[in-house]
Amino acid sequence: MRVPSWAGELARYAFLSLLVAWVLVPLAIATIYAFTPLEVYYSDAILPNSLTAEHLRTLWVLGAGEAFVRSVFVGVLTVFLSFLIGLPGGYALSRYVFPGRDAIKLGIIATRMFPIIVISVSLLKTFFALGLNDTLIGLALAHTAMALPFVVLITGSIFGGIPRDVEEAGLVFGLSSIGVFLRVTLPLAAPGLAAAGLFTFLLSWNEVFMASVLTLTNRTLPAFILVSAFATPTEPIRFAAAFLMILPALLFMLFARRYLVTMWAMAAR
Amino acid sequence: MASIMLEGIVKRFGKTVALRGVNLEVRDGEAMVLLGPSGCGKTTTLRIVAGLERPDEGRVVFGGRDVTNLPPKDRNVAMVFQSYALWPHMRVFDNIAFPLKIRKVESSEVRRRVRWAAELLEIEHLLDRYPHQLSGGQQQRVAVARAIVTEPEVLLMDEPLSNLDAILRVKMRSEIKKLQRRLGVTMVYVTHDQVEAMVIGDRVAVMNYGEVQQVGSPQEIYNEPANTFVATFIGSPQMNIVKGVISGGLLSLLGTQIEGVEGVEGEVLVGFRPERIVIGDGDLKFPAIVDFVEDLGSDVIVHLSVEGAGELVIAKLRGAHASLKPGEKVLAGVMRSDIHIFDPKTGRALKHGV
Ligand SMILES: Nc1ncnc2c1ncn2[C@@H]1O[C@H](COP(=O)(O)OP(=O)(O)OP(=O)(O)O)[C@@H](O)[C@H]1O
Ligand SMILES: [Mg+2]
Repeated sequence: MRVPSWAGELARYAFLSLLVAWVLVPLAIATIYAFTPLEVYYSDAILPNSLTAEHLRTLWVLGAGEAFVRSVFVGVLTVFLSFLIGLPGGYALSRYVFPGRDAIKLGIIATRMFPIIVISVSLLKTFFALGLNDTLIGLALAHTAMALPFVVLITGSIFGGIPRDVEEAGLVFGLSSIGVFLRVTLPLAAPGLAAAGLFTFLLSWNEVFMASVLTLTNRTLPAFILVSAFATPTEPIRFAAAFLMILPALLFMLFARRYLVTMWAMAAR
Repeated sequence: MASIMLEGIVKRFGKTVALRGVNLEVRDGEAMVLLGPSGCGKTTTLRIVAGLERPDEGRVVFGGRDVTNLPPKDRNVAMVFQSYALWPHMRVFDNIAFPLKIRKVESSEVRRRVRWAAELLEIEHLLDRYPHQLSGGQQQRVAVARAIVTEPEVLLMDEPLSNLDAILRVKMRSEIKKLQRRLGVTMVYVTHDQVEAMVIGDRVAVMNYGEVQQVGSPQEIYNEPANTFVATFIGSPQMNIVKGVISGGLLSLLGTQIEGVEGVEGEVLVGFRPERIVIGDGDLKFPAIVDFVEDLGSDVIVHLSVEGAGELVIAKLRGAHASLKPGEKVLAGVMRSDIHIFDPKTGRALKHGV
């Protein structure tokens, strides 16, 4: 028996719609209720007839603003540190053959096996000793440790996708090794590296376990939301908090979609 | 400009020995072609000249200056890569201009020189494009323009024509030759296409197995091959090599004999080129049976089996012989001057012409 082609098409679109709804419906609900006035939310109405920024304001008063800024600070510092350490590592892994190279690669992946929560607790002890507990720098260091395997492997793949002879042409036509890296390799890797950087930022942005364990007064946004906003019984405030959390990720996806595709494509080459 | 001397270059990659003691002199302003089968070490030699690879043993000397341990940037060389290796993030103009900018040439001078190179290679209309917007032939021209724009002392080319179609290849190979003459630059050109080697090279270095087998003008290489490898590698179809014995000046081969072969005694290998065989004439004549005829239009390739001797001989004859039929008996002949004698153990040439 042959299935008519329109039936196949229909099934395909039904499936895709389901998939899109799966992602979009919770986002839409969170966004809508983040701006729904309390009296409307607790009435029988399903959709609000007016919108309000009052919940965001409440969160602000509770300290979401500072938490937001702290999150940005920790995220940026994490990107900076993990690239400072990880980028040369990735380059070396992609360009040089040396003894133990594969073992190192495997080791990098293996570090991902340890649950972060376990590491956080022992880290806290160390941080107390170093006086790094409850500091943003300490948290950024922890996030760097978490992001480093990703950064090394992804930048390694990105550099690996850049043909060696293009670099050699740079050497032959008068550049030093460093000159080649700065003027040939980096510009070619830039789109992929930019996406990897944004991705690393989001890793830090979304991280909540270490942030909750390692800081007390200096909480980043997710940690703040976990302990403050989600503790309130007022549901729209929770939605507003959720909205604050997704916002950067959404903006990132919107602007960096092309680069993300490039990054994975470069890495997969 | 500069001469290039390679002295006893040895290069190993782990367990494989890519070069086993390469000695080569390229004269100032000369076009030297490295010719050899795949994997014989041509690219490795070129990369050692460029400084992209360090030799494990031996020296590289440019015009009296030892450059063995200098990085590429201090050697004033330019290179056309087999893959062209254009910088994908730069337009054609910037690709050609970049070597000048690295040398901090003034910008009006940069523009003048890029225009000069672009005109020479007829790519002025492509200057605003990115490399991926060019055809293979156009990319090749850009790569050559980039290589000549700095007026290097040494121009290196690694099979630059191998990605082009047959017609373009024939056109470009004579253009490269003319360009090299015009610039008077010392050039090392790598290829495994012997016709390309003959057209471009003032001299040709035939390589095999990590060693230079022979260096000479195309004529020398063709007429006086140093050993059986060079003899059979150069020329198409390849040179016939048959067994023979010399005793008291009498050379016996293919069931016949020829007198007055002086200076060599004992078992030998005897070589003669297919295109030097004539039917019914020659100083050495041997009867044979036609096995197979390939008609190429202008020429015919005839496979002959020699009765009694159990040898196969290939002849390249004028198109007029296309009427030969398998099974037909012919009397094939070769002139004395076209016969080469080789040592059967070492393969070294003992005599050219008997
Ligand atoms: N980076 C490398 N690592 C390991 N072995 C190598 C490397 N480069 C070259 N070789 C080996 O050295 C030998 C010579 O290689 P080379 O590339 O010089 O040959 P070639 O004459 O240029 O051949 P082709 O005509 O195929 O380009 C080969 O056996 C090759 O496998
Ligand atoms: Mg090669």
